[in-house]
Amino acid sequence: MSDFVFVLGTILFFVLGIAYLKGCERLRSEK
Amino acid sequence: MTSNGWFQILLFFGVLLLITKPFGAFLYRVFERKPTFLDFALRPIERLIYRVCGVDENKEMNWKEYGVAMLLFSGVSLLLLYVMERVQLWLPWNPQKMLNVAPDLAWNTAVSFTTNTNWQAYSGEATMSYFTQMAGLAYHNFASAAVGIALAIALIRGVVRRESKSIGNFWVDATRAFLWALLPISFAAAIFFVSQGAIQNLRPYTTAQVIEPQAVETKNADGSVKKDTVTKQVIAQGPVASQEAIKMFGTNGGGFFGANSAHPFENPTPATNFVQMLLIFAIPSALTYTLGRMSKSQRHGWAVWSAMAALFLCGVLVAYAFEARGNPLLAGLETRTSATQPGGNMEGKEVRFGIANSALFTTVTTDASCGAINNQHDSLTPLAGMVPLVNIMLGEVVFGGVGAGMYGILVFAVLAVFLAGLMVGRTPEYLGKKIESYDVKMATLAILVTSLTILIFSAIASAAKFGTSSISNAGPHGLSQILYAYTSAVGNNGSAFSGLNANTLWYNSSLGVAMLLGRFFMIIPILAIAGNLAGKRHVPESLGTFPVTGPLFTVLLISVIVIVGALTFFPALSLGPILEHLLMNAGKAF
Repeated sequence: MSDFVFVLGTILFFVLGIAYLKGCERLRSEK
Repeated sequence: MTSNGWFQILLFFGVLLLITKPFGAFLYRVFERKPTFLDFALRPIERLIYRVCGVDENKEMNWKEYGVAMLLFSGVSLLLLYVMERVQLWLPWNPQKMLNVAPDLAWNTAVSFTTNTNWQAYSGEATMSYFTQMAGLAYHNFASAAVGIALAIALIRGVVRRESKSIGNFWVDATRAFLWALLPISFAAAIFFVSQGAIQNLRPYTTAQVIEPQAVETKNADGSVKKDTVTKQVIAQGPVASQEAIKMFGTNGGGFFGANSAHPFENPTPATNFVQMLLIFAIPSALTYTLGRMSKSQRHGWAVWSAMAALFLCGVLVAYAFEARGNPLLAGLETRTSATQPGGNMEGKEVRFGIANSALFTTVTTDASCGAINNQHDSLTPLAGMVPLVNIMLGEVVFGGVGAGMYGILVFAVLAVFLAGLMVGRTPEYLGKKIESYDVKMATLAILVTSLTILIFSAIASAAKFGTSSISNAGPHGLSQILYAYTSAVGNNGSAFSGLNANTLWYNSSLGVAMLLGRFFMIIPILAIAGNLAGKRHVPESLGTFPVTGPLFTVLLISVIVIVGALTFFPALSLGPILEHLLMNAGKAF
């Protein structure tokens, strides 16, 4: 159970990281 | 303070200055792909790596591709280390039969080493197998350092390139950082450490008969006292020297042993202590010279170096002064320096290194994002203990971590020229690039993400039972322990006020999240700045251009770093170490 939570949490974080990157890019196009 | 102590500090500073130019010039050649004396041996290996991994070394990336590659590489490496720790009992090179690491600690450690933090809520000699230490932790020491250098070089390229969509190739930059910079010097340093007495073996731990049996008392869970006599001592072994070299050179800081660089097998002599400190600062200091070469403004590189050096010397001065002064509550005891007494505050220190080399090590390891320790930071006097805390809070830009210090200070440089532009009413420029609202937004985001993460997590842990139950001291020192933990995690430093018991589900999880946010959510806006600047046209210097090559820029840069740090963290510091200092002078210790 714990393994599942930590592995899934890690994957979600890096997906969120890519979304964050895209957010930064979107801010650029709105300048 | 003694003249001998200052001589050693200034000697360190002088040697650092001496190596900055040659090593910085070498890094310039490595990343600009100019011939170096190591090419004959390393180019074939580099080509082989690209062939095996399917990397086209001539294909460049824009900032988003660079960022995604960095995220994917880090994410996959993190999960591999997590799995390795969870199954280490069944892997080779585990003569002590170390058990599989618990999930929360394994995750915290995997995040910690992937983010170059090396926060350790465990003692290596009692938790990790040799295989995990070598193939997991030491591998990450190389990989996370190579990622940091690659990112710094990418940002410098962003600043110096003109109307370009690309900022380099992540895989090529990381591979070259690993092969040309990290590997050869780590190898040489490991040999030197072995020559001084650091151990390097795969043997089971040695059991020795103690000469004088020791009577010890331990408390059972029910509160009863158990008396015992210790007749044997287990002496941990392992491949220490090889891990020690990259631990310092990659500003990682994760010790093979729990005692880190205070352990005689990790840091056997004053000579190794000196070299370890030099290794920490070598790349961050050299990168300022590389910045100057790549931007064709060597004076700018030295201006940045001067800002770092000034902040470094201030930190050493404060730490050394307060440690040499010692604890005034011990006024009745002999605490003055003499032929037979080191004087000052010797609690938590190795007598082999003394106060000057402990204060220097503490400052160096927290100016950079290293986090190795040769003395216990929790035992420092309040204001000396505030020095490492402030160093990390300032963003570890005083030389800083490998790569991280450079990209951190360039964010402050962008803010500095922006503020200078506001003062004179012009569009700010930095090295021939106009600094516009998007660049400032991203710079601010990079700073806000880290500050907010530190303060929010510290506030939660200070207010909740699951946070306060781990502290070992009441009052302001307890708050300092919590504040230090989150500051260290977000700053990817890894050192600790180790009175805090961090091996709990809350601290393992929350510090893990803090490390991830502090690393990657800071890097992405910085890459965005790199990409944005790279695409801009070059603006020729004019009379209205704020010069970034002289003392005025250095002073402005220092001011921005200090003001941003002071304004953000002063309230928290005043409730922690500053209050503790005032109470100590009033006669109350914690």
